[in-house]
Amino acid sequence: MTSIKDLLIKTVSILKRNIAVVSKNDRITYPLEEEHFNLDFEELKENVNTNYKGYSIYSLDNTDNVYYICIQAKEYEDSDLIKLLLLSFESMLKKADFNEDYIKKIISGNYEQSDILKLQQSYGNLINSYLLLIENAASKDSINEVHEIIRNTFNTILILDYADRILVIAEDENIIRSAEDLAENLLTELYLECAVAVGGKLDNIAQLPQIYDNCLNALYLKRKYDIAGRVLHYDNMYNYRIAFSLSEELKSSIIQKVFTPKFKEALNSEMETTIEEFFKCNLNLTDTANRLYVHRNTLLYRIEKIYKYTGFDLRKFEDCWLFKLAWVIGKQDLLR
Amino acid sequence: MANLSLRGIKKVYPGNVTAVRDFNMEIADKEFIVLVGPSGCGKTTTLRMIAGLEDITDGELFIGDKLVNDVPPKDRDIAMVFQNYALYPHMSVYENMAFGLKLKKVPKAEIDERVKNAAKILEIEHLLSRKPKALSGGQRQRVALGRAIVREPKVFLMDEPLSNLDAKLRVQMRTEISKLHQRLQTTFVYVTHDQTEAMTMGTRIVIMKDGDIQQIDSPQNAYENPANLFVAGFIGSPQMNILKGTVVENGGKPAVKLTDGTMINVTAKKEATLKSNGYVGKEVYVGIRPENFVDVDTESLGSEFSTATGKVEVAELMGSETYLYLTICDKQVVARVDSHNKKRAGDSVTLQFKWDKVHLFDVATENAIV
Repeated sequence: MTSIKDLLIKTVSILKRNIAVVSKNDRITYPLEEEHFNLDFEELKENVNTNYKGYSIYSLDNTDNVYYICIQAKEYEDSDLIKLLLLSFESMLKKADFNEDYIKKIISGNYEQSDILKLQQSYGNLINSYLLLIENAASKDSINEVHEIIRNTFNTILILDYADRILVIAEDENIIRSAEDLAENLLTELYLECAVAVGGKLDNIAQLPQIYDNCLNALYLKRKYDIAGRVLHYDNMYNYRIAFSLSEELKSSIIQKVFTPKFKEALNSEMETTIEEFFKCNLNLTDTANRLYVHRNTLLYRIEKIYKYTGFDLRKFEDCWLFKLAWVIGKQDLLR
Repeated sequence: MANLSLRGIKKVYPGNVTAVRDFNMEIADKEFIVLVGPSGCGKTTTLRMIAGLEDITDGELFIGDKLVNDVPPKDRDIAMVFQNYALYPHMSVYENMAFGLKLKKVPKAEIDERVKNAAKILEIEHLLSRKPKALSGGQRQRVALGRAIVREPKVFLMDEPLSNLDAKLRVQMRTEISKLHQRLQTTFVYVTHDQTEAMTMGTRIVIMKDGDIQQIDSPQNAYENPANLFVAGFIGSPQMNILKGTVVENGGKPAVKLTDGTMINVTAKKEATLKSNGYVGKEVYVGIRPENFVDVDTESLGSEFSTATGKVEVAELMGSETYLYLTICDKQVVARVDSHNKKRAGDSVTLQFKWDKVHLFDVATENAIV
């Protein structure tokens, strides 16, 4: 409801009263801060067309969603000015609803060129914007707060609850850092441990379906390969994408080549942690030994052991990359 | 403010991977507990179970008197601090600190009081109107801590909060967090893999390895009386020197003979343990902290203190002290000596052992012989 805020500010500058626009999952108030507007959606539903707790409550139900407009007043008003004002809000909200519909159609792949053109009229080409998909944050009882945190972390163009996830189109110079901040903010403020997929930068609004697919793929790859971390940047996930795109025959061949019976037998949690930490520390022996709290020689012994059992020396790039690929593909099955 | 009770806590991940095994601990109100250990030891999993971000496979977790195993994180009255120190870029410091409370619909006057109080504690009152981009790294960290403080939680949970910082800022923030704990008088549970952080910050530290608690103790006691070989090596920098020796009878009393023939006396208490537990004739590990060697050329402890001689391989001047690296009994050891010590690489050095400070460990169990 970003553009609604502009209308709200302009209206308040004329009326000089508090106004709130409330939907089921969102609310905007001005100039009163949101936390001081204590009327909830259900309460408004029961008191529509009355003056309630110092606000005249109006319902806009010609839009796809139900919205309540609350205007600070001593008694219920039904003047022409108010009617005109409600019309403006209705028109703006309808447009917002339509835009959400266009987005939904576009990302579902079920759209016509005219839908893109209509969206272009509202948002331009969204050049240099990013599309993000947030998983595990669409909690029903805190969705307003989640939206509020998103709005305050990015320069958001659009926030949309869609298919149990939250879709965000945002502009940000450092999108990955901001996505990490968002994940941390959701965790520290609302205890929601979410995954944020960054699909890529838009050069054109027509790229929305592709970038949305990138986000979905990133989330899928996270689940499939048990990728650690809360932020997934699809453009930086080539290793997982390559692993996924290999033919079953080739995958099986790589796994057989690397995960020999002797290696499988020797693999335990200590070995697993060693391999994971070695990769995390960019194959730096000293850093890995420090993280594992083992002597450098102990680490070398373990790496030698992997070499002995697999024929792959993790200190050599040529060996390491294939081992890493096999580790990505086969780790889950191997450890199960 | 609250005490925590972790009773038989266990975490098993799918695939039967045990991350934490039988974790038992009583954490008193206002304690600063540090969970420390190498990667994969289960420290973060334990913290996440306390936070409610991870289900507990078995055991009971109490915060105060309340069993919280099935209580969602938001109802546990905790505040978490992570390594990113995320701030809202377009809000002022005041708004950043107030934001969480606004979401919880705390009355404005109370928010104001809490934010100003937290700002006072953190000494950032003068920064309240600034935006994050106008803050230094250290100031940003303090604001992020302020966001946790204003929640007035019963327990602060911190997961490696300093690991993204450069060395200088890390030392600075270490002090800040310790001071914060003193001022707030609230329970802190802090996870780190850095033993220096653990030693300098914790009122008690929990040393973990492979999902098991190795020792729960004050930093001082864990340093002076390590429960086993792992703790002995993990706590202290430079690490404790570990040599092999054999328990022998020396003048009717048990003593430890190193592989080069050096005879080391032990305390009366250890003598009794060695005797009563049948260690005479058996191998033991001998642990000596670097500072428990004395260079006989600069200081002498007396004739009852045995000596060993080696050639200095490396001498590291640290400013206030010098580390001498040499080989004794075919093992590299490090001795911490006075910075005015003139020994350099290639020089011969004779070291005396402060035998009353020597640690012994069972070779089979690696547990301390006390």
